[in-house]
Amino acid sequence: MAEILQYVHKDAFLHRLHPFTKIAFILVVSVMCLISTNLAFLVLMVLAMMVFAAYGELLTESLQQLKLIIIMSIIFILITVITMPNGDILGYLVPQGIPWIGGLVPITTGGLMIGFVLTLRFIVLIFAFQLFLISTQPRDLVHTLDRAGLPIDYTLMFIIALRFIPTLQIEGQRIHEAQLARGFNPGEGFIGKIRSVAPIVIPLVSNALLRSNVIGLTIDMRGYRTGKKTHVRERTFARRDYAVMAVLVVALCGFVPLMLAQVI
Amino acid sequence: MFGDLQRSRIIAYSAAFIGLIALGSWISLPIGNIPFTLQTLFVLLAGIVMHRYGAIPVLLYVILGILGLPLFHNGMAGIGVLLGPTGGYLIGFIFAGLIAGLAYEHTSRIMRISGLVFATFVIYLFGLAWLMYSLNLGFVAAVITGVIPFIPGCAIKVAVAYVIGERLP
Repeated sequence: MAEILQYVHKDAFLHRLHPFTKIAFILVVSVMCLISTNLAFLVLMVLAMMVFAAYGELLTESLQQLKLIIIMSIIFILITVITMPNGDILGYLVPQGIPWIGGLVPITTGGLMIGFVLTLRFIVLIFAFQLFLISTQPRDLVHTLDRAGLPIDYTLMFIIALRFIPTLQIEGQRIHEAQLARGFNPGEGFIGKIRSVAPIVIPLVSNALLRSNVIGLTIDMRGYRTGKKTHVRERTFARRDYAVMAVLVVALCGFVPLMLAQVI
Repeated sequence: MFGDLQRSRIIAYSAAFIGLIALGSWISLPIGNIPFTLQTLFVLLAGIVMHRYGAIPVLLYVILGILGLPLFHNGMAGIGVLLGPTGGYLIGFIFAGLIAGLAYEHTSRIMRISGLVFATFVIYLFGLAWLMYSLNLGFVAAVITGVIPFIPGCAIKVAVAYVIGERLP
């Protein structure tokens, strides 16, 4: 299983940007796509994200999420079609030929529209966050969040948790396989699923606790709260950061009048 | 020693439990329209291991999910999940972590088990209240969709949490 949301080392445009610039980028993008309900605009945003990813040489990494995105999109659209019928009826989810339940769930333009808007929003947000996380070194992230005034404890928790998730995922898989290799047979179906919980969760949790004990000691030994902090690498704003900021400002300036005119 | 080992340990444990809760939420068996996940198990375990600080990882988990990381059930994220019908359970988790943690500061077995049961009860209290409010359901209908199907699963989860809690160092 591929590790999601982990740093990928490269030396491309996005990697060279200052983390502050990238945070500003995420903020602007999320605000825009949360406000907008215009389909064309959201499609444009998705395309812009792809162009950004391609320019930063991260397109293949971004597209690894495609499977998740497609499944989520189908779920979103189905949910909105079922729960928010609104507007003209295009057809029925259950064909009318079937007796009793025929013509039960109407597919409406309003429901479809909301479904598409939610899906596109979700895609844009996932893309933006992913581009940020896979192009920023964890230590730069800590440094930036620290500079932004977040308490260092919480920043550390955030970063370590991000690192922990894929490790735990792989470890869970491995423990499951190890138990199977020992001849553990949880049985079929729902009951089997429940019975397979304990033999996997116990080793998983104790391993995770053991590992976090080591991490806790390491954090302490490195003196994370001695009061004096210096960083190995100080990042400075370069010309490309100003350029990206300028683009963001222009985009915002273009967005506000359109929003006020209710076009978007 | 530089600082406070206790504190660094809380940081590392919180991170581990955020990861575990996220992992538990991806294993999801939907019953009706409410997903049945292992989240509660790990929330209770956070309380069991970290005592009163058990609320920290759960709170951070909810915040990270709101910020847009795909940590909620089925890889969902964002404020929309919190405002959706199942959001109440997520808020309930925070208090459940706290209650289970406070109960585990006592050593008596009765206190611990009743703490776990009460924590689960609080999750349902919040979940039920929000379910009734957001879907405009009556009390009985909300109990039928939001509580009854999960009681067996939850009893198992509480039992598993207690057994695991006894076996952890």
